[in-house]
Amino acid sequence: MVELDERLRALRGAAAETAGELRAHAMALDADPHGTGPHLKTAAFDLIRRCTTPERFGGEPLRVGPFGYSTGSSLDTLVWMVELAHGDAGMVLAAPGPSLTGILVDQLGDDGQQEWFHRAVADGATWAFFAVTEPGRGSDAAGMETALRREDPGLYRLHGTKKYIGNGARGAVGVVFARTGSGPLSIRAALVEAADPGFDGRALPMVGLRGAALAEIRLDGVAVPEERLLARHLPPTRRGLWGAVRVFNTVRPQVAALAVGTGLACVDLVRAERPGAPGLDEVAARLEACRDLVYRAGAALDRDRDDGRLPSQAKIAAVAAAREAARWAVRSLGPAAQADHPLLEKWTRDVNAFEFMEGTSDIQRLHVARALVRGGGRTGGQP
Amino acid sequence: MNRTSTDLARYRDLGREGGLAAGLAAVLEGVDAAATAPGGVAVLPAVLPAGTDGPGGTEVLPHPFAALDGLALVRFAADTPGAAPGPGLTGRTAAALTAVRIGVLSGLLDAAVERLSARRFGGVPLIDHQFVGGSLADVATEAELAWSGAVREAAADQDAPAGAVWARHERLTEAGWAATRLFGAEGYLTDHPARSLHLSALTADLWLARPSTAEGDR
Repeated sequence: MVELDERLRALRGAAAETAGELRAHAMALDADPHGTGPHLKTAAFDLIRRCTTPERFGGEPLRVGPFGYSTGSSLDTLVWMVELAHGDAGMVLAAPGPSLTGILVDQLGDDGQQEWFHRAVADGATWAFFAVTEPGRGSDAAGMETALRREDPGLYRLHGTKKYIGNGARGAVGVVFARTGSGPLSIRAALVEAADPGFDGRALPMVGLRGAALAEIRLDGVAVPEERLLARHLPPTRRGLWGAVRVFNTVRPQVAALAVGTGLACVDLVRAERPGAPGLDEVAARLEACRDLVYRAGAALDRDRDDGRLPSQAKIAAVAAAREAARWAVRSLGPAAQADHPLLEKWTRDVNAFEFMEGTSDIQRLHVARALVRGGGRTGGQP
Repeated sequence: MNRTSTDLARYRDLGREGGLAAGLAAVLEGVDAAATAPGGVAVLPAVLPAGTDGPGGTEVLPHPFAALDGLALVRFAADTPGAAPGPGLTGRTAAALTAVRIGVLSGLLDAAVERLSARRFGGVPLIDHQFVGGSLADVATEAELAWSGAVREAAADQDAPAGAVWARHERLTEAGWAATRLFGAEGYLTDHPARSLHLSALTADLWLARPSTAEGDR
């Protein structure tokens, strides 16, 4: 079990205080996922901005009492993310800021690239996209076909299509992965601006979690100056998918955190409407165990960014628990519940989204099995 | 095939070939919706703008994609005759809804097999990966199990308890979710036919009474 110290308990409390406001905005965002204007001034969005914008690039770190919170800690992020998702996960994903693109830029960008990117998304009204996935190749990132072709010395152009990209139609800046050749080390990550000629982001109609605003991005000769290629200062093995894998390792427990928060929101509703509902204690206890697993995954990542086993296990467990919590709530509250409580109807759609984010449960199972075969830790709470 | 199977096959084939709305329309033939819906709300086979008055004194509730399948989420007005909580679909009508849902699932499983055979991961067709093939087989088995349950229920002299009906549909809901996963993220877009599996679950949620408290504690 991860015992939160006083500093993290303060962070958790501050985040929890903002969750109710997120829930109040959630249905409006679900009805109009691209109408984010009314939501930008929420306290939770300000908290997210403070927790994700590095101070050296103009960020104003969150402070709670005597404690300050700089960017970069997975455990810190997961503590506030569970609480905010307890309000509404769709709203969390609608927050402007660096999101997972910032994680990559911090890993692969040089100082100038990091500053350019973070300052571009620091105004509280700018989103970033992270374009890896392609149509027909959901889990097969290594098979990507988007091309990064050298046109002149110092200038490349992007050709291809990306799909299921969060913020892909509303993001102003982001990263696109593409290949310069056929080899495994030919995949590179490029900083791109959506306003560049040849960039076309089109929103995709999502079943749920509509605040994530997935999109398809078509790239028709988007210009990429060489200085926008990430990881130029790193060895070839550290330039491409290695960075994406690290981002996915970091983000998987975040998806799990969103799932835990959504499941807890379902528990809230049942507890309020039917306090003695059968199964309440069991569902709540399972979600709290998932929360602890999420925290443990964060602590593991803070020790070793390449340790992907617990993040995958946290995602497997939390995604299943959230869906089960939503179905249990539907069963417990009766046939009118999804009409009487539109948030419940929305959450029954939202919980399914987590399965498809940053690798399906089957993909996570493969990661876990490979880690165990490699001897990457014993099971049952042993590091 | 006995008479009951033949009757249910018509519903199944309607769900498979005509879609959820066509199948639901057949299930609800002769059913007083307001008097039957167990929560005063229902999914109906109709395309109606949200916020308007629907047929028979209903209020059309918003839903982001029900209309894409020719469905509307409605609430019966409190003063509608028979609008008190009804028994939900039971007996033969519950079995007919099962058959429709099996038909919808069956059609999408065919589409999933086609997709999984064409796509490759690691040089191997997705359908040949053990996880994927196993999921497909499990869904198909649940569909067969649900069919047997529906035939038994339709042929029974007495309606099955609400808990038994709910449990059968809940297993179909889980099978539908497993089938949705076979389409990957594209199955999570409302312009993909797999949206019907989500709406199939919602339809059952609103048309079926819940098990008693003791049965609900699983």
